[in-house]
This record gives sequence, structure tokens and C-alpha cells, in this order.
Amino acid sequence: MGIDPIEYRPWQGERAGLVRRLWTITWTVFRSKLRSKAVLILLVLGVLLVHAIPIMIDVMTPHDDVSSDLMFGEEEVYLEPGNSTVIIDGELFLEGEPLVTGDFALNGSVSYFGYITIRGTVVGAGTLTGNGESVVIDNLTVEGKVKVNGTIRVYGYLYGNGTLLGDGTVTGNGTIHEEHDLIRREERFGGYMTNGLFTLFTMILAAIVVSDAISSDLADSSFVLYFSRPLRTIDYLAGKFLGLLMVMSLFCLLPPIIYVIAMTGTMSGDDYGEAGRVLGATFASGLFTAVFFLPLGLLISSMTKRRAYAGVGTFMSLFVLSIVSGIFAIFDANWLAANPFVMLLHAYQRFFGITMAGGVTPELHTLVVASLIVVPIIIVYTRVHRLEVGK
Amino acid sequence: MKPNRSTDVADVAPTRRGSPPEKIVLSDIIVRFGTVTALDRFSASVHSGVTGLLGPNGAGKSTMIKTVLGLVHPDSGSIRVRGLDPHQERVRVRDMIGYMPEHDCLVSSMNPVSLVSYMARISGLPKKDSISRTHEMLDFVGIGEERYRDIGSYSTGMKQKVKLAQAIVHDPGIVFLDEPTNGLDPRGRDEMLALIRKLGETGKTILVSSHILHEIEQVSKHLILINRGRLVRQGSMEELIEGDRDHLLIKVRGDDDPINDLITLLRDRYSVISTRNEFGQMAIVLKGVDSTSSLFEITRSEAVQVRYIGPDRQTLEDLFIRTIEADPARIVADGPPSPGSRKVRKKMKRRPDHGH
Ligand SMILES: Nc1ncnc2c1ncn2[C@@H]1O[C@H](COP(=O)(O)OP(=O)(O)O)[C@@H](O)[C@H]1O
Ligand SMILES: [Mg+2]
Repeated sequence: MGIDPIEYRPWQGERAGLVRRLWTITWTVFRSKLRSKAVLILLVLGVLLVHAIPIMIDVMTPHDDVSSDLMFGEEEVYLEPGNSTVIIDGELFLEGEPLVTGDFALNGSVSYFGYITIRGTVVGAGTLTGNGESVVIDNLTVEGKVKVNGTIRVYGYLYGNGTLLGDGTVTGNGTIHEEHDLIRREERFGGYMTNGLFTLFTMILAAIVVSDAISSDLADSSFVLYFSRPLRTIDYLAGKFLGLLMVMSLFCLLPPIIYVIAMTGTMSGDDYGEAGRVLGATFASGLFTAVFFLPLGLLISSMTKRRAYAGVGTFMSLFVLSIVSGIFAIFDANWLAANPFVMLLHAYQRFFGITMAGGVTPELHTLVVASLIVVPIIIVYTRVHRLEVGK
Repeated sequence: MKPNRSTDVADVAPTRRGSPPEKIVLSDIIVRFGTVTALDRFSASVHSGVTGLLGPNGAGKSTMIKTVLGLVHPDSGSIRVRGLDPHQERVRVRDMIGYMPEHDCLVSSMNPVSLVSYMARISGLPKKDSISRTHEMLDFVGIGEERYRDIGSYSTGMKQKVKLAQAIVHDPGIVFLDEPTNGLDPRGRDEMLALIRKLGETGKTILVSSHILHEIEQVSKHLILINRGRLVRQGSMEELIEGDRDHLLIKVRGDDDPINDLITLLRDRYSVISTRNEFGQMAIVLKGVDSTSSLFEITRSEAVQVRYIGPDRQTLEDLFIRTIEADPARIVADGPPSPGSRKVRKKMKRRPDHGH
């Protein structure tokens, strides 16, 4: 090459199809991200902290299968006061050692096989059957039957129209409490996917990765370079999105897959069917995590020319969302649905086919998740599209 | 190397052998931005070779280019690029066009090599070709070793060259250069104009917009003169300069009243094309004068002094100045946007090329 001006020469060759051109955008985004120090540091740090250490420890710990419990930890059940009366018309099996700190009304039956503590009032026309050692109840009003093989200790008022059967002792003194309500809450601890650090790192990574995706084109007015070529708004966005998704997948998708494969390879049992299901659900969960924060980030990136604003804005909006949801959830449990952490966790639980904990219904969850993905995409599309066409 | 082979990929497309001589045809295009009519029943055609698109700021030059590219949708009218509708055949049409936008558009965090080859690949060049072609084009426009430095650190002159390189990297048959000399110093201008002349020799269809007549004169043989969104004149340089053969120009000096009387008289007998006060004398352009002797009769009878009678030989400069003078409002458009509605101004800010 030389600096001397040369003659213009034509180019002869075949042009690539549109898909190849889209891929060019995707690959360029991906490569430029991997050249950024901040992204690299975060990736290495995150993979080490969130993934590498659990992978090493868990693989070396003897295990005979790869199950949902591995990913989500053992289940524990809580019943807590809520603000609407829980009336059990069917049967409720409590298999753990539930601690009921509220009251509940009983029209069906409750069977328990462990130790049950109810720090509230049970009002029931149904049956409470227990095989455990004892039942501890603050107040007990029985329209139906209470059958206990252990001890029933009533610290409050004991009132009954039904039958009270027992091999143990019934003791009681006190009054009927004001009626409270119950929420059934399940919590799992210690699972690979329930690691809060995972979500936190994902949020930070997404904020950094997505920050200049659109804002730098805004700052440089470089949309016109793309749109004077045969690309539509949707091509431009899809190309960028896929590039970002590839970066996110390095953290959110690849390591969990490696984890499940490594755990399957080292398990002592032979339930490969279950392990396969877990692998599928893990793939879905990882991909979902990689996608989840990008639309919101793209939206914020399309609103400012400064990448720093876009990055901080993305992280802060997620942070504020979880705080707001936490505050309002005190008054209405449905607000939990607005917490990004909860949204992700519920999504995992749905992919793994585990019952959803907390007061959030699947419908509400779907609605919230869809709106956090679809609404930003629509807004970004219209914003960029308006820049593409001159008016 | 066969420099004179037709360079347009689309030319080779089987459906369009023997394409018409007009490469681009605009008919009755209307483009409105809110209350502003940027193109007002604009019709023009562009042939191969270099065509100058000349008009004052705000005339609608950029809008015309963007409309052909399909970046702006016309409210009415039709456009054909080698017989194709840019909205329906966007891929084919855009692949045959290269566009050098008026304003800054380069990604400042990339260096010219990565940016231009990136653009080449988006235009469909295979990876290997895109790299070699990028270096070739950067050589052509005269970007040297600094091609590995981020564009953010570039001077306006260098940026303009990179903008040109990205516009031609995919070897388009049609090239739109929107004010390519904007912000350049005299040397930069000369270099840019030389590049355009060279490009013009390749048989490409090149449309160069400018508000500076002198530049257009240097590079183009054809001219489209635009003002207030309307086509003023179009044709080859010679035709335009020569003016219409049957036009006659007389210049007279005298008091206002006799001159007005004279004009009235002339209107009775011939058709008066224009009257213009030029430094104290009145220049009148007439049509339909069969003999100059009767004209002498008329002028002699009035109390005016005849300074010139002869063919209306206007220079391009005359034409340009008259165009703008006919429209004093538009000269202001050089400065900040004239007091349009707020909405319009806000809208303009959002446009990538109006954000500066
Ligand atoms: N996106 C836009 N929104 C509103 N008005 C616009 C827009 N683009 C151009 N205009 C107006 O249209 C007219 C023509 O503009 P333009 O084509 O840029 O002129 P030129 O390129 O000849 O300087 C001007 O009055 C300008 O203000
Ligand atoms: Mg312009």
C-alpha cells in the first residue's frame, strides 16, 4: 500500500446474501466487546466467582444423580401471615416441618407427618391429622376433626364442635386471636441457579455490554451508514442483539451447560433421562438469562448519546425496580413479580417444572416478563426506525 | 485490470440489459417535513458521468438524495433507479448506490480500515475482498499509515476522505456525494474535487451536491439547479451557460418612469422574460424579437439610454445568482433555521444529519 494516489479500480465479485451481512454486524459487535477490558475483567471475575468454584466443588462432591434439587437446592416450606384468608378446601400435605406463624381456616384436611407448629389460630371444619410427635397451636377452634397421635399443645383458646381425637395430651389456655391469613412460601437454598451472585453479575455485565450498543451510533450519527445500505431497522437491531447475546451467553449459558454436563459425567447413578431434562431446562434458563436484560438495556442505550449514562441507567433501573418491588410487596405480594431477581427465579422454576413459590401467579409472571422484553423492543424499534426513515 | 469496464454490478443483472440512458429519474416528487415542503413537485433525471446538484442551503439537495436512497419517503411522485423502485427493490437498488452523507457519520471508535471493511461486508463483499478492497480505496482517497488510528482523532479533511472511501468500497455504479467539500480547506477541496473527477472517468453515475457553483463547474458536465425544493434548470453545462438562443438582452439606463414606460411598451410587443436592476441599469430579457431594428425604434422613442443589445449570454454564475436572488428568503437559510414552527426544529434536531 502506498500513500501516492492511485487509480480507481472496479471490483468484480459475488455479493453475499443478507444473512451473511447480518452476521457481519453480529460478529463485529461480539469481537469488539471481547476487546473491551471492562467486559473481559467482568467475564473472568464472574465466571470464576459464580461458576468455576461451584463447578469444582460440586463435581468433586459425590453425587448419584443430576436433578432439579441440585440446581435449586432442597425445598423448605413456610406458611406466613398474608392478607387474605387461606381456606383449604382440599387436602394439604405438609411434608417438611412447616412453621405456621399465622392462622388458617380449615375446610379440608391437613395431614402432616412431621412436627407442626402453628403460631396462630386454626379454624376448621375439616380434619387435621398428624403422625408427628406434637402439634403446637396457639388457638384451636374445631368444627371438624383434629386427630393427633402426638401431643397437641394449645396456648390459646380451645373451642370445638367437632371431634378431638388424640393419644396425647390437649392443653390450652388463652383467647382467640384476631384472624390472620397465610401465604405458603417455598424456599430453596444452595442450588446452582439460585445463587444471587449469578443474577447480580448478569445485571452488571448486561449494563456494560449493552451501554454503547445504540448510544455510540447516536453520538456518531452513524445509523445512516447502515441504513443507506440494504439493511432495515430490524436487521440492524437483530444483528446487534445477537452479538450482545453471544457475549452474554459466555457468562449465562455456557458455564451452566458445562456444569450440568460435568455433573452428569461424574454422577454415580444412571438416571440419564432426568439428567437430560435438567440439561434442557438449564439451556432454556441460561438462554433466558442472557436475553432477559438486553431489551431494557437497548432501550436505555437508545435514549442517550453517552455510554456511561446508558450503562449506569440500565443497572440503576433494574436496581430501583427490585427495591420498589420489595417495598410494595409488603402491601401486596403481587409486587414481587416486578423484582428482576424474582422474575428470573420464577422463569427457572417454570423451565424446571417446579411449583412457583410466593404469591406470584404464572400468568402475572408471564405478563411482567413479556412486557419487560417486548415493550422495550417495540420502543427501540420505533426510535431507530424514525432515524432510519427521514421522518 | 480493465478500468473502463462497466463497474455496476446491477448492470450485469440479466433483467436489465440495454438499460435506458437515464440512470435515475425522479418525477413530481413531493416531500414534506411538517409544514416545510422540502421537495415541491421535483422532477429531474441523472445520467452517467458527474452531475452537479447545485442550490443554496435548504434548497432540498440532501432531501433529494435521501429520497432516491429510500431514506425519506416521498409524499407523492415516483422514483426509478435504473428502472427499479427504491422502496420495492431496496436491496438491489441500495447495492448499486454509494452514499457519502453530508454530515459526520463515521464511527469514531473504529479505525478506517475496520470501519470501511465493515461497511464493505454489509454491502455484501466477502471477507477477503473487503479487506483488500478497503486498502485499495484508502489508497485511492489518500489515507496513509494513519488508517490504523481511530477516526475520532481525524481532521475534517481526513474524515471526508474516509466517508468517500466507504461510499465507493463496494464499487457501486451510482454514487451520491452530499456536499463532499464541506468544511475543507482549499487544498482539501482540490484533492476532493480531483478524486471526484477521477471517479467520473470510470463511467459511474455520480451526483455531487454543493451550494458552491465554482466547485460544481470544476467537476461536472451536467447540472441540476434546485431552489426551494423546485427544479430550476437542468441540462449540460454548455446549454445552461449559453442560455436560450432566442433570448435577447437589453440594458438601458435612465430615470424610473421612462424605463417603466419602456417595459410596458416592450410587454405589448414581445414577451418579457425578466427585468432586473443591475448596478443602476435595467437589464431586460426578451423573447420573440424577430428584428432588432424595430426594437431600436422603440427604445429610441423613450428617454432612456441603451447600453447593450445582444444575445442573453449568461454565465452559470448569473444563473445561480439570479436563482438565489429570486428568492431572498432562502439566503437566510445559510444561518440558523428560519423561524419555523418549534415542532419542525425539534424534528430536525433528531435527524442524524441535523444534530450539529
Ligand atoms: N428531517 C427534517 N425535518 C424537518 N425539516 C427538514 C428535515 N430535513 C430537511 N428539512 C428541511 O427541508 C428543507 C430542505 O433541506 P435539505 O434537503 O437539507 O437542503 P439542502 O441539502 O439543500 O441544504 C430545509 O428547509 C430543511 O430545513
Ligand atoms: Mg444538505
